[in-house]
Amino acid sequence: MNILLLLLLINTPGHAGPATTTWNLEKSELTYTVKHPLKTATGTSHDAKGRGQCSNAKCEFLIAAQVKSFDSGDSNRDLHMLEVTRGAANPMITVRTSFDEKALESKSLPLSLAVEFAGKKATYSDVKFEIISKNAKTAHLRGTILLNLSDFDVKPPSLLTFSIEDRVPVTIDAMWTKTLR
Amino acid sequence: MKRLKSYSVIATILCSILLSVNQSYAADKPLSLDDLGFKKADTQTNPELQLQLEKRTSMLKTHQLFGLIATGPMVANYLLGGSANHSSSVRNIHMGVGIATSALYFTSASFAIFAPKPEGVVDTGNTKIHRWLSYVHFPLMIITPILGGMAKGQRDNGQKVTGIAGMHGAAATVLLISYLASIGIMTFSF
Repeated sequence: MNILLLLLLINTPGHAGPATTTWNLEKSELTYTVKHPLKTATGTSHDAKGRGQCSNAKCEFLIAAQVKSFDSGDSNRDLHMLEVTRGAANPMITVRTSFDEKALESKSLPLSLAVEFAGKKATYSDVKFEIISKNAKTAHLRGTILLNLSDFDVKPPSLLTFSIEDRVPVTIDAMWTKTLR
Repeated sequence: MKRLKSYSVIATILCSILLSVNQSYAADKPLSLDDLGFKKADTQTNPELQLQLEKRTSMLKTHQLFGLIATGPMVANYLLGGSANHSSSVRNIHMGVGIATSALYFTSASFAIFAPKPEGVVDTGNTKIHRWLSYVHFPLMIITPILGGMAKGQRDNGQKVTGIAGMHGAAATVLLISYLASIGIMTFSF
């Protein structure tokens, strides 16, 4: 009987092997900036969802937002953005990364990011994320990915024959909360 | 009784192994969009909307092109209008350029009016101002040539321009300002 109890205890999730830490995206702001010779425009989404899981000292994070959730303050620009990025056919932009859990202890996090956007995938290496603040339960991270529209076969929109720059910085400002399983 | 006990131990060991395997699988499974809590509709592709957006963009590009082309004759005609009062031939040229401007303007306007717009989209930002300004220049684009025709008739008969026809110049000024503002608001950041 004692053996039975011992085995059951061993199998209780909290005691079975390494603990899994789950990070949930609590609050976020994703902002893209497009530059044109005549103007600069930004679009922001506050509707991203994300999750991270750390197990065996390895962490995997996924953050995603609907392309249509980006608001530039101009309805026509937003619809045009949705069109050129094929946002109705490929409604999500996702960013995926993995890293060693101990990297979360440093001030800066150099990440390799796999971005899926407009139905295409591209990887961006050594993207620096700053850990703005971190405590036992929360972490606040901010970083900018320099996306190239050409990496996703997105033709840069033009105005008066001038196209916007191919390079579009996307800043991710994310507040994560931790739960231990 | 002893045999039953040993069966229980074996069963527990087997369960324990199965649970461990299942648990490590759960931790190793890569995260997916399903884990994030999006509704199914949020992640579903909508090819019809994509086609609608492509058609909209194509029509608005034509709207933009004809609208920009119309600026040239509109400005030129405004300048010509200053001398139309004194010369019959200038009045005729002024009328001809006016007709060309109207043709370009209404072609441009029709592409904006009939461009499909996804349901539930409300105009915001400069697009909203652009539309408001169209409520000024669109009716003026109808009224101004009518007033011009009346003014021309009076001048061609050797009369002084009087009555509502006398508003032709003022209407043209408001039309030009609102039209240029409408283009500017979509082109530059203010």
